[in-house]
Amino acid sequence: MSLLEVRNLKHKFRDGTEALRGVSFKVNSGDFIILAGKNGSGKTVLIRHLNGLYIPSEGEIFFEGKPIHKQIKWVRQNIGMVFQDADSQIVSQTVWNDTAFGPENLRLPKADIEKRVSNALLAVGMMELKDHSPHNLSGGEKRKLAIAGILAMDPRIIILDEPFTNLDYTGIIDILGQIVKLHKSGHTIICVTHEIEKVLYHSNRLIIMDRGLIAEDTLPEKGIFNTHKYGITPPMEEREGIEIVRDMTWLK
Amino acid sequence: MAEITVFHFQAGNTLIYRLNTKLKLLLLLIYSFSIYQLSLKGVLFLSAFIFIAVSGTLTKPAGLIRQMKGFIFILILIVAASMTSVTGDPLFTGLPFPTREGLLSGMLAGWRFVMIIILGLIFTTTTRPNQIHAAVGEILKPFPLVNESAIAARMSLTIMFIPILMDMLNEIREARKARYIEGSRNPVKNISTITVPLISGVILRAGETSMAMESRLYSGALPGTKQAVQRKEYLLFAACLVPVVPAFLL
Repeated sequence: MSLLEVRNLKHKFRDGTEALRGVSFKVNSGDFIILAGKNGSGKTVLIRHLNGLYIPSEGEIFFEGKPIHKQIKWVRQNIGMVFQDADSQIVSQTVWNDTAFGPENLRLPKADIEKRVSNALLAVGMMELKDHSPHNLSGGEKRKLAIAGILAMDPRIIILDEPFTNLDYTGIIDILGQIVKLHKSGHTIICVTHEIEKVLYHSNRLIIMDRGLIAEDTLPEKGIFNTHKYGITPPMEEREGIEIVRDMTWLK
Repeated sequence: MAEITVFHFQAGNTLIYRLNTKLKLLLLLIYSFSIYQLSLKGVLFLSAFIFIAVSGTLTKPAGLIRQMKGFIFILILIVAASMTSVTGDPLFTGLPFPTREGLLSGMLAGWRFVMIIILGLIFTTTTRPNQIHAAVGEILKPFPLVNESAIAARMSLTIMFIPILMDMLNEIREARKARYIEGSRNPVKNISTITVPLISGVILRAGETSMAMESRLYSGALPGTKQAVQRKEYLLFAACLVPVVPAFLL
């Protein structure tokens, strides 16, 4: 049985825009999926359904075989979502308190909360900043804090919405390293990005969305040759007249 | 990286950090009330004590106070309102306003406003938001029909949003300067070019934040941590009240 299953998902906004027009796919435990597509293709709308934040107009989503709308708390605990704008995910005035926000909402005992927060901050290398104000962190640190906040809830699937946006080279390397580490530690990853050359090497599936539909769901090594059709920068470059596929990771 | 840190908790270990939050909140209320009831001499006396407390509790007080330049506009409004409404000896012959009494009363009102802001600054800078949340929750708990946890959570979030708002405001101001809108003589244009982007930015940000909170299982209330008041905290509280008594006698 797959960990997560999306069946014929449709979403229509009040103004009549059809953001999703019948999306179906499965996520297996241990997958590292790159969800790519140009702006407005429906990526963000899709992942917000996976966390129960949006209600579909049609279709259903199953987590471990059970419909997610019947067990939303359990689903949100198991499917963590890192938002594109890390600033909007920060709700507390210290790094420690912000990481504790999720476990506190789970009404866990104090000792468990402390253990989870401590482990999450150690995992992202931010323990020494625990008393700092999140407001004053750099872009990369804010994103790591957002990841720590999700890790503290102990999810099985982690969805990252455009994790490399607005980051400099060092920040991208840092976040990419974190994502790969999370995957190696057993988390299932869904990474929404159109900058596929930074991360594709680490993934086992490439899903490309186009106008509210899944246009490709394939192996990364096959999918890269079609990206240009869907408005995604082809991860190839021309050297001396020969097309060369780039490394597909910024981690060295 | 953000430049505004005002009204944000800053880790520290001075006496005021260690004072129980309920007592700190009570002190804030007593001092604020006193400042609005005291005579000019009393206000100045209490202000001196507050400034000593600021220099002893905050790590970079001058930097924090500089960041509050956004309040200057409100301060000018307070002084101007008083100068143009209080009757008395005119400062300029032939004009009914401003008056000497109005100027003095405006300056006192302005000074009171500044002190209240500084008190709020000391409180928010030295108190962790979850402690504020827990203290407000505990204080409101005895009142029937009051959802103390929800009110406390909203209060924590509001405090959290102040520096974000000030950051947004700064960005908008800089964008205005870059487009030469700053020097416009049209007051309606001046106000609308600040308020329209600020309000739309706040609404968008609040929507995203509420969604992010929902995804982390926020359900309208935050669990707080109870803090028991210790004997030495009562002593510190009493010591902080000492300057209030002579201030009323002045």
